[in-house]
Amino acid sequence: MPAVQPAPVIDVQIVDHPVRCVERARLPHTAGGECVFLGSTRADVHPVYGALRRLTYHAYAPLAIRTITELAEEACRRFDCTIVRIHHALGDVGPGEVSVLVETACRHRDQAFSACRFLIDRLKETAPIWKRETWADGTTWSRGNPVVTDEDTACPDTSSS
Amino acid sequence: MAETIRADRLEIELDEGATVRDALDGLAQKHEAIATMADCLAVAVNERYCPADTTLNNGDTIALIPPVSGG
Repeated sequence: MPAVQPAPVIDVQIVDHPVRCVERARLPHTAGGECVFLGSTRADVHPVYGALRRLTYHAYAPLAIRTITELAEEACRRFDCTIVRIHHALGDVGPGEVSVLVETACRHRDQAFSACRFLIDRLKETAPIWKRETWADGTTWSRGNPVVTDEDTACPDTSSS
Repeated sequence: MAETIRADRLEIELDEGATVRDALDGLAQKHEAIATMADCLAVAVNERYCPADTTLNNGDTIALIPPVSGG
């Protein structure tokens, strides 16, 4: 007789500092696979402005929380997750520091991998979060992607400042 | 966009039955930065993404969402 599936645990947070790698979730015993994705600031060099000093994240927080929570709920339905944890940083995140954590736990590893990939991809497409890049000799806004809508969009290049 | 406009909050008066598209058009007429970005803006009403034909109500909060770059 299969174990009774507990209600999924969803933990969504927008924090005002780099994301700290949290203690591994205590898994419900029905979870057999767990994935953790960490997105971090990559050391980079701008052809004009030089070395990257930091990224600074901004958000429309109420909509970001709602959007990410709804993604987590969708992941639970589609991939049978028992745990979804998503933490995203606001403010300065230096090279090597973590800006986003996505953790998924599911009955099987395929589901956990798929859920984790789904969540980070859709977060990047839909969450109202923006990052400003501070280089040695200037700043730019990361160009980003239009939130997916029914219409095709063609955006002007407004990335440099 | 907010930096260019030098405001992170704008007010607009609309006729009864106006839609998200009407609001966007009205703001674009007043602010070139919004007109320039209009084709790639998403719109949220009261903290939910909404299509352009959504009818607005008195006191609604509309957020213009430029291309996003989280993660």
